[in-house]
Amino acid sequence: MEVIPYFLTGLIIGSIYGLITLGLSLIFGVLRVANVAHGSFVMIGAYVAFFGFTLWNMPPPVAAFGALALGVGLGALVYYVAVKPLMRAGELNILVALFALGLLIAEAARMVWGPDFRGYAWSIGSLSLGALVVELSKALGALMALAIAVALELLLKRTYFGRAVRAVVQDPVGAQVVGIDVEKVFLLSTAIGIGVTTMGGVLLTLFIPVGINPYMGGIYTLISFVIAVMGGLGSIMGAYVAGLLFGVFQSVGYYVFSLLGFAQPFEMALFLAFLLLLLILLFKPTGLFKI
Amino acid sequence: MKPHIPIGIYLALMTVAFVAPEYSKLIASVAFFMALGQAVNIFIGLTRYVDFGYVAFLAMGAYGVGVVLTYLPGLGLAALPIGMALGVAMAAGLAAAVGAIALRLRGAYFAIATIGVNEGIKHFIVGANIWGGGAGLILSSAMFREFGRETALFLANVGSTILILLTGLLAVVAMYLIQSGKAGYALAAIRQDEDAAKVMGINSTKYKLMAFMTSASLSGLLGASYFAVGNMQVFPENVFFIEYILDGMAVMFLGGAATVTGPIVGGVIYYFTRDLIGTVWPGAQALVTALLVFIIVVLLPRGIVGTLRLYLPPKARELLP
Amino acid sequence: MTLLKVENVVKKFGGLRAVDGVSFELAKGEFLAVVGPNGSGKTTLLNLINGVYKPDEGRVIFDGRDITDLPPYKRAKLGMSRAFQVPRPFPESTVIENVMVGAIFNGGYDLRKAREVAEEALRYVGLYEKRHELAGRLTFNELRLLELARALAGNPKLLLLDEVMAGLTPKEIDAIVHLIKRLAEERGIAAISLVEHRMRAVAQLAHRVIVMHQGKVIAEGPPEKALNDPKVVEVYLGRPWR
Repeated sequence: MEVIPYFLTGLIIGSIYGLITLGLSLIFGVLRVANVAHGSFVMIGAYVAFFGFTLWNMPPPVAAFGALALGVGLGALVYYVAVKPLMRAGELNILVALFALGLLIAEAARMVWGPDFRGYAWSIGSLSLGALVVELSKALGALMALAIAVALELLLKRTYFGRAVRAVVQDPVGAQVVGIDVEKVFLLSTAIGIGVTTMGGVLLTLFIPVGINPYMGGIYTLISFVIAVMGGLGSIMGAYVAGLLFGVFQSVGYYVFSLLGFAQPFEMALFLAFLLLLLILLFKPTGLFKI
Repeated sequence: MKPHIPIGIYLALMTVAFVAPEYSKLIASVAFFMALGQAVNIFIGLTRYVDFGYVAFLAMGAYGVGVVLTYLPGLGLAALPIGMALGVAMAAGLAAAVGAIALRLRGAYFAIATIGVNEGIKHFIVGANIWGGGAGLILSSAMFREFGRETALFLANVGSTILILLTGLLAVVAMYLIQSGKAGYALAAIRQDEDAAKVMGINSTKYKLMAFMTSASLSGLLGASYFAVGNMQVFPENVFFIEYILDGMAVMFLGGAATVTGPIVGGVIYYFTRDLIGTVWPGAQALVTALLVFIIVVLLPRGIVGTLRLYLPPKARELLP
Repeated sequence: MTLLKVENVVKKFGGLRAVDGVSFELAKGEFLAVVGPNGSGKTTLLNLINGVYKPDEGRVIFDGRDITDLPPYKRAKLGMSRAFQVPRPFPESTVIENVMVGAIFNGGYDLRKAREVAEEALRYVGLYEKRHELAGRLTFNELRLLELARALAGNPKLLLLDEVMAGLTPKEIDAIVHLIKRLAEERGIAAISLVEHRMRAVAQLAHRVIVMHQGKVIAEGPPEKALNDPKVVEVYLGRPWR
């Protein structure tokens, strides 16, 4: 029974993890590109939240939409500079280029904003549910993440763009033949994917009070890939649900490892996550469930 | 192919390091990048698969020596070869474990699978607090005790340089052996068209694993030489430093992937470029490296030696493998 | 002597039965042409024999061995060579290096013998002069010949030819047809060739013809007989072939 608060906090942060992963899954699903620079956009979103709040008193939910717009622009830029020229060059080139890009962004951030850890605190009160205290800011963040995930899913299932995307995913050549501008689908998917990721970075800061730094992205690239693979690369709702699962897994795992006496339960939980990734890739690379 | 030039270069550098110890640390720094590029080349260059967790192999090598020196006292000078052997074995073992699972996967999935390896192992060591945990291992006192002060300092200064160069040389030898045998043909086929290769009778997993383990072992040797012996310390933040894979790829791509002389040229250019940036714009090395790798991969994917080789007559091409 | 036996193989993709219960036998040194329009299941059948797909039902028996579960690279070592419809050379390797891959891994020769075998195969198809060229620089017809040379160097008992006539001029087709006939007569190599058009070539080439339609075999026998079978005429040709 003591585990229930951990379960709930796990769900809440899992919602954010899900949001952060949506973009990665979308880009892989549509372009078959593993965006190994993914975490750096989370980092950018985090800094947007930080500066938004400290410079202009912008509440994070508002900053989130600013980050979305910024991220979409960045995504378009990344598409033209890195993705489009290398689509034909082979997997190695594009993976390496994106990897370099990710580190480039982190280093640039360090040079512009300094290596120090930043943080801020935004509180709108909390809610008591018996023994459990839930901070409303976090709950709001989690709900926003859910809303975005649903919105994206609806975009893909109910709009012309969404149908075009699904056509491209199934058969890029065939999609071209029926008149779909595949290039535009690639561009928009990349832009939206990175936009949503950046937005996720903003909401993430509600959970990491003093953890904003240029190198924070790496761990989230990792976590996002685990979640994306779990949920099935290319599936939006799959990524979101897997995010929830991962959040719970991490939170409950933390509880279990501290009970077992590990000095660094967070680290151990992460290690398990990586093992999980290997196992899933080996046995169920299409994801744990079909959504 | 004739490996005389690359082997000659390594032997010459070893002589210099031995004869003029004041240059030893400089040579070590340059040679580190050369050897790293050679080792990375054996896997990434020959198979065109990317392993983002690669740095873990360097770390395994370093910990091999570190663990022996810290937890097995009384071995005297023998601790060094034993530690290095252990480090290489651990690196190779890790490659075997990861490779057996992940090399069945294709390109992007393999890269994804490896992303976690480096971080995973680091988190395990820190989280379970083994091998010094987050604080790492300091080896200087153990080295003084086991080897004697004079020898220990010599090893740290000159010995490690020679070991690093030896790694590079062994990598050249390994490349030579691979490329001149069946494996060379298999790997060429796999990196150009893996599906066709399989249909033609090539067991692609076997050859990929072979390249992977060879590359990992050499990196283990490098890690042991550079960190454990050279710096006399093993810190998780240093040995698992993810930028090293970027460095390795920079050297490899700059010189020319899948060539033998490429990483030598690449290593030299890379080191001095970084050094120059360090004086002109301190703190920006990593940024420039990342930018450099990005540009090379987009604009000059064959690298300097690779592109040069295309224009050479066949006889000259043989001498610049 | 039966070299290949395909027993009631079925391959489904989702709800589609691409190959729907196909059975036939192939003797050593025999040439079989598989005729059928797009979507009839020819390439899937070839993929099943080659090991690229595993059948959902049925068995494939090669040289007396049940190979149904063997992966492609093991089947290659047992004596199957495949030439792809769209040539898949290794573009950065030279012509002879390309052929040597077939010789070493398909044929199982050591490096020195592989070079000899590769040179011989290149002479056979007429590409010997171009052996040091990068494969990526060859013309389409030359790439076809390269595919054949590579398959040949693999010391095959069975050649799997996937529509190797497509995109060639009549003269080029003639040359390849004669080449393949020589292989059958001089070396006893059996072949399965997928054919769509070029009826004349089929008739000259094959000892036997199988006609496929919607995953099933609708006619079988010597060319004149199978191609004039009323079912075939109705489905595919429209009028009797002369």
